[in-house]
Amino acid sequence: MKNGGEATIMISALHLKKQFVKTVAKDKKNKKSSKVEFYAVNDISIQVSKGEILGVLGPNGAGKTTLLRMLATIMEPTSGSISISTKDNVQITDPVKVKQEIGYLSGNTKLYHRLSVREMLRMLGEIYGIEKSECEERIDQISKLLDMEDFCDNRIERLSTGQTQRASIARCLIHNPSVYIFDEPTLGLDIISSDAIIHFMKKQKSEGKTVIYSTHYMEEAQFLCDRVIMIYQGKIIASGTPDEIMQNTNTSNLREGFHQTLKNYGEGEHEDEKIKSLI
Amino acid sequence: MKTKRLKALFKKEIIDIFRDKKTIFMMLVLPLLLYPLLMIGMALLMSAITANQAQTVYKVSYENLEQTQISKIEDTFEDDSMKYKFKIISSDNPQDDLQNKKIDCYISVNKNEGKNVFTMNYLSASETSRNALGAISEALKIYQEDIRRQKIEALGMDADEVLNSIQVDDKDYSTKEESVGFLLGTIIPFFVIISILLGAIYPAIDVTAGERERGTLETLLTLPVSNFEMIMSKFLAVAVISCITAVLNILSTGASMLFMVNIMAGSVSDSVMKLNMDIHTFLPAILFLVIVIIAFALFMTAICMCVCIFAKSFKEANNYITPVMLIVMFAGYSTMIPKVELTSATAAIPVVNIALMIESLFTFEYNYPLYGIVLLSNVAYSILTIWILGRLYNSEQVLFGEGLSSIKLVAKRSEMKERQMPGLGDVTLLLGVSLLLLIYVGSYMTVKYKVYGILFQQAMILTLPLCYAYYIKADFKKLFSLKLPNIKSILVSIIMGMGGFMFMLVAAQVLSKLVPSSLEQVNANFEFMKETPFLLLIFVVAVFPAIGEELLFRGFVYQSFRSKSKVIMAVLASSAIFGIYHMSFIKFFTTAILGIVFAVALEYSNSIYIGMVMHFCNNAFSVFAFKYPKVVEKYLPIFVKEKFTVVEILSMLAISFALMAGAGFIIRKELKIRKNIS
Repeated sequence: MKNGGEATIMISALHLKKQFVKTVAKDKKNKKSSKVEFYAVNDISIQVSKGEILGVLGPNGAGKTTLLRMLATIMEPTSGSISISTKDNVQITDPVKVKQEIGYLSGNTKLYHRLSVREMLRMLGEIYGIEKSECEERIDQISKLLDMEDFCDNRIERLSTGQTQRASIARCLIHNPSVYIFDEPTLGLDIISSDAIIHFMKKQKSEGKTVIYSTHYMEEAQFLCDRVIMIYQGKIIASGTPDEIMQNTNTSNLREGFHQTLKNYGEGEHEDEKIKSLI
Repeated sequence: MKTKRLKALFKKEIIDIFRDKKTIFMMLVLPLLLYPLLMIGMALLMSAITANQAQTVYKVSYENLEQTQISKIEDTFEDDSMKYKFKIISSDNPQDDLQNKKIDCYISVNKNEGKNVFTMNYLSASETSRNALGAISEALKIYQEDIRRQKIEALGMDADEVLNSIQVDDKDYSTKEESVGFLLGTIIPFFVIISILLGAIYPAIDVTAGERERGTLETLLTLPVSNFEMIMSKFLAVAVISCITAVLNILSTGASMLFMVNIMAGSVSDSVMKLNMDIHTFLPAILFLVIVIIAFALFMTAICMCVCIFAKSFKEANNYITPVMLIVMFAGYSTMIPKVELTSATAAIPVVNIALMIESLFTFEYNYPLYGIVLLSNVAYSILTIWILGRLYNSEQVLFGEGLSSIKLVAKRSEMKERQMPGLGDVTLLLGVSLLLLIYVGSYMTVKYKVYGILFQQAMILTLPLCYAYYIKADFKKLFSLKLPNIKSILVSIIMGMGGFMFMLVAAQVLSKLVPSSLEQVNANFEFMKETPFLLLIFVVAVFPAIGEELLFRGFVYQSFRSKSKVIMAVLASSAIFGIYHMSFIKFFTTAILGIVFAVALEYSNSIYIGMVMHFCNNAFSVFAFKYPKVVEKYLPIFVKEKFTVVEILSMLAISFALMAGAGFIIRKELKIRKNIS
């Protein structure tokens, strides 16, 4: 841990579990299927400090999104608890209050296309209970920060992908949260837009905000994260700074470290075959 | 903070709905432009067609007719009463000409047993030919009448006297308002129901399936709002829009219908069509209609949202809503079925009751007890569907669209957290369920099993709050105030109770003078009680309700209000609900007055038993007065008197106020001291 034990813990999750039901084809002849319960997240505990960027890595279907949704309290864990500390160092667990402290962004959090960026931010400000004048001030600040002044009054349906993503980030910023939870924020963006977002996360970290984000880009994670956790089949299979992961696996970059970790976990050969068949 | 958030969310939903062009079209353009245009267009088209019909010249031919017959028939064509024009075309083969449409109709004659049989040959597949048939048969009628006249006169009799020996006439004693009301009453219900439904469907899809399709649902979930606030804001937005659409629809259709009638009245000189009636007659109906529209719009909105919530896209939602629409439309047709009327049975059937109620409003048969049932049952349905809606929207399976198999409407008792007081949601649900049970099961049992039906109904009222309290693991002792009262509070309550009882008598007297019919209706339903033994009646009417209703209204309802709001609000609200539950206009006020007395006694004594005993005494006295009116008349004449004089009323009021003020003074003092201590 880079920040050591001195830093204050912003968000902590204990023994999170989330159970889903999936349909499994049982008998191909009778076309019968059965429902099987499984854990998308199986006993994960994490603590993230103030001013820390935590990367959540893992293959598709590992449980990253479910974990992040639970951390953002938009999904209720089957068991386990989540608490967040406020500016006055009070631990809160009530989802409605927790959400006040969190900015959550994922591929599934689309914007209100029928509104302009400014209108949407105003509307959200009202729901977050921000004073009107204060809200206008924040909107101006944010549009400067994210370079959105050109399109702030355009309807969101007319924006480009990069502009939309910036508007999405503006959405997470409006209530000045202390924790950001981003689910693959750079997915499908060009270099300029994704760099802007990476820059944004670094800046937030320097302001003492906490960032938890998931990604498939290993280079990005290696460059950005103070600490990463690797998730596979709903469990943490490795955690530490990118350097520690590389040391433990005797690799020179995080991409190889990722493969090596999966291999060590016992699924390695299978993974090799998968890669070969892809080539 | 909570209402502020709800307001902000509501605003968001309204803005979002209104920003959609499709909604604007469905809400504004369709009712305000298209319907009037369609109706006016249709009216113009119809008058054009009638005018056209009058100008059509029918081509007619003959077969086997003698020249005298032909000239006589042709004479009738020229007759003043004939509205049609004919052109005679001579034809060698009329059948061919008819089939080739060279002529529209031809008359042929053949003899049958010495009689002339006139056959009109036409083509049923051709509209002109069908019209020609009608025109010619009118001409032939005139021809036949002429022949009759000639034959009668040949016998030396007065043809007019023979042919019109009696004159048949009719006279309508319905006022113009009544006959127009009858017409409106058949058409308007269906129209109102459909416009509310259509007004609700579109925004309901937009805020549920639409929000999910556009991907903003998860965004909404990241906001610091509870699921209840989220669903309520959506629900309210859709309900408001549905109401607005319905009102716009009704107004625009009403206006265009008036316009249409005026056009018709202009073209037809018949004065019956002219609308010179008194619009004021319809005002109460229209006012009541507004209330009904709101109650019904809430219900329809909840239904539509419940269905649409399962859909992942607009298309899917449209498919799901179609069967709902068909069912509602079918139920809306019920006014067009003869002999289906608003009765205590139909008043509880959803949708049908609204249709029948609107019909009865327009025929001026103001039957307020039945309207009460209609409104209450709609409120109960709305509560239930909104509750289901809240449950559905709460479950992640629906929110994240991960299959519906594991939706749990009802939580297991083992998953319930222990708590002392039920919340407002619990109260509304319990009241909604018990109201529906009362309307459906209760009234059925009462009609079928008479006194045992009432017994069953009362047992239901008694068990429901107990079961619910057990289910939510409430603190029984606290919720139902199961504590023995002290002597002082008993005495003060008795004084207050006597004052309240006298006040109630006066109120009943005054009210029954204002609304004379309603009391008879109340009594007519309980005719069978005369044969019921006294003790059984005491048990059914006094003991059971005293326990059951006190547990429900002073226990469950009052205490949960009390834990959320001020004493005065809790007293008034629980008493109003207690009054509404008795489903009668007069009883509302009298029971509400008693409800206030019982609730104050409970607040003061912290014991439910005082209220129970007072409740028992009141009901038992009614039973006694009902069974042994003579005894009561002899010893307590003031309580069973049919009519009070003004002096009696005033003196009773004075006594009751004195009693209540005295008790109230002591209670207020005591409550203030308690407040200061806490």
